[in-house]
Amino acid sequence: MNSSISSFKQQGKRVLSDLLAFFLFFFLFDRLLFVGIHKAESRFYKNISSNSLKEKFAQAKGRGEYEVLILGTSRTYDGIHPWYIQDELGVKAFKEAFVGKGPMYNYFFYQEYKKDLGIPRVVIYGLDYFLFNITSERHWLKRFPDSLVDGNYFKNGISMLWANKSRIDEFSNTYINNLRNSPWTDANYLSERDLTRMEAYRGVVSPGKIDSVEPPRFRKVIFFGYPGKEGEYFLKLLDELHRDKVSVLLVSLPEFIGTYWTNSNHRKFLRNFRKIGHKYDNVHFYDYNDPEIFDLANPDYFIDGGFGKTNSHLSRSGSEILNNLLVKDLRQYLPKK
Amino acid sequence: MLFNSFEFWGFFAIIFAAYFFVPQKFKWLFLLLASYFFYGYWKAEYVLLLAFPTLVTYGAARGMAAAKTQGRRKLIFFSGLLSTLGLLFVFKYLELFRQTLHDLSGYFLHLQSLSSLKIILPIGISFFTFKIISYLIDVYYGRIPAEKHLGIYALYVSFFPQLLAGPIDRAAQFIPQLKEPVFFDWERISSGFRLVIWGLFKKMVIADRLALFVNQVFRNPEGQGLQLVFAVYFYAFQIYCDFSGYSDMAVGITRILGFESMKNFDFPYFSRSITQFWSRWHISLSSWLRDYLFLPLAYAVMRRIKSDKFLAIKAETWGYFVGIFLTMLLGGLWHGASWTFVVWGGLYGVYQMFSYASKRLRKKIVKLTRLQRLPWLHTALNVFFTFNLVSFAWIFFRSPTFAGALAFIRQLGLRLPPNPSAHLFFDLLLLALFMAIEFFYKNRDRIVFWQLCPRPAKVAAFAFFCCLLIVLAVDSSNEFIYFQF
Repeated sequence: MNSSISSFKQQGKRVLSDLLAFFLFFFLFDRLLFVGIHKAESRFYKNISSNSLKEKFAQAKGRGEYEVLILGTSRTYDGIHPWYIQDELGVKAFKEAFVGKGPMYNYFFYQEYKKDLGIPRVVIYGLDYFLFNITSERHWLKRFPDSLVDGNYFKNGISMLWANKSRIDEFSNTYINNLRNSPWTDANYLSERDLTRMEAYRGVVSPGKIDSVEPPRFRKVIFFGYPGKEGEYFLKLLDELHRDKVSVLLVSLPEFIGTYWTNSNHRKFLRNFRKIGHKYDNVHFYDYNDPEIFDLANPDYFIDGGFGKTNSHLSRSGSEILNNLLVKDLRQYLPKK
Repeated sequence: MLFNSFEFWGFFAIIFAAYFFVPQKFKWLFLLLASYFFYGYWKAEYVLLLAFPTLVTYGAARGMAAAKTQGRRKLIFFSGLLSTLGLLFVFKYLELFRQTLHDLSGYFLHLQSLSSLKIILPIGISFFTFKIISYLIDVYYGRIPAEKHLGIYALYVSFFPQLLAGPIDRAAQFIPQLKEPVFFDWERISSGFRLVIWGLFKKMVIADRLALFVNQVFRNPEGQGLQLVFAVYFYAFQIYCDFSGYSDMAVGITRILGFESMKNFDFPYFSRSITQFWSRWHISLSSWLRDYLFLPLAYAVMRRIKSDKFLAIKAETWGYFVGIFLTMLLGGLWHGASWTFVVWGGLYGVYQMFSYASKRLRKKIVKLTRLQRLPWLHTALNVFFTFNLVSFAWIFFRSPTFAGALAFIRQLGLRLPPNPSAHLFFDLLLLALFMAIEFFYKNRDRIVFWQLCPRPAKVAAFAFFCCLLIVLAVDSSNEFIYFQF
């Protein structure tokens, strides 16, 4: 018999007792730490002040009717701008797109939006490759108390800490930012809260530092299709928009070529959204993330992204091109003026 | 495959599960195949880059052993050495050479621009070529016999835990271990796993967290004042935790597989002098440079000076100065094909020459200030000055260009900007935690309480530490800094 195996048998008791003790203690500490963090998190979010949504709606009411609503994450924030829509089509667009605003946030947001500002004529939803793989951030969700009730919060698993790692990270980052006593004071957050700034915003200039050299090997990421973490909310939102007879434009935003190849499963991505689109007669799918439609290889059109990087945002010049394409397609869904 | 990726741990789980079932006489083959798979996984063609110098130097060493005349021995030795160095030059330094030639031609000759060569630096090349070179030199000088078993030698060169960023283990210590039978030893394996977890903690909790602040400040140093000073100190800890974390993982994985690798770091920021710092930082490289570069250079200079003194300076001092300065310059260049690394290395050369030349003066100052009566204060001051000199040099290491480094230094200030980064305070707390753990780790053999702790309590502490790792780890796939070298 192999001498390694016989030496293993001799030490078997020790190995088993150590492993058993390790897993027992790990299980115990994991739960204790998680409960502690969960309590601290709840207290923190309860204490944190400001519900800027009401302020924002109040501002909007005094600025006339909004016919277009733009939803999405940070890619949409940097990619689609109300300024171009108003300039070209003469209609006002309300943008509610920012980092951490996934389908779940957008679903709850739409409920509030309807109550305060009424039903829009068109909703533009900026799609990300990782749309079904993200979690709406809790500091945004706290705007909607109903959204924070999550029955699966204490779900079983070897490690609760591991299962909730992204949530813990988000809490710790928000907590660290809050150490300055003024969370979210940077320019981006200000423009997120201030509609006047948002309507004037046209993106940032490309820093020109994107590495466009293709390395010999880089990670490729599969497409996490529906439903993922928040897919149910995406469909719930589309159902609601269908009931409200709102035209919906699902817009696939351009990615820098390195990111385009990193997010390798585009066919599945397109199939997924075309399939969703076919379910509703009010939903229309537009793919601008196509090298034949948009020059994805031009680093001036992007502020980040690259080989091995899954996220890519448009720069000012890139978004200008995208918005020019978009307004042409958007025109047909709005009454002629 | 990065040590901090799921890919690697999937790969290692398979290796570990199968390893102890593989018969002793085939273990080397199993590890060799695993190592080549590990390297080829990054880019399959580059396996040839590993195989070629291995075969050439294996043949060269065997040829030297069989050579009948010293002349022939020398010829074979230099052929093997040059082919290895040539490979390193082409893949690592040719682009720098081209760029420098291009810049000079622009200044002096007004030539057309030379087109970029677009050579991709194969990961780990600096590390495995240094292993090969030390092996060749040791065989040439008769310190070790030429290895007869090609498979064992190939495994020494390509051993996957050390392949990408060391430690640069010497053949004399490592090859004999590869020939010994490996048994399942739970104490050794669990100690290896503990080291791996500690390395992961250093990398994912400390280094990657500090990187968030450091990158932000280095990217835009203007008007950051005191934050720049913190960024420099944090970078000192970032690079330490990044590289020593990697080394701990490499040593831990090596130990799990039944071998002992050399220690690569020994609390370098507690050093009392720059010389001591270099005997504690990246030990496998610094000892390599000492043995294969500094000592031969210093002796060669001393031999060329016929009398005791030259220009009123002792031959011994000349030997030290020339040896240390050139070694540090080349050591800097080893780190990367960029002039900032050369400046970084040169700075250490100057530090050490100054330290050597000012020995007497410093002794006098200590005597005058009566510091010798307060040895703890003397030590603390030495550690403080050494740490600051080291941190200052890191500016050149971190900055992408020499001009960038100078601009960074000009911006250093003592006032915090009006809206300091929130990460600053958290990172300070984290560093305090890290220092406390390091201090405990360094002195664990002297802490009676820890010695008396029953085994289950130690297991519990380890389990708690693993939980802490999950909570505090930064969720990113940052590469290890030393991979680029």
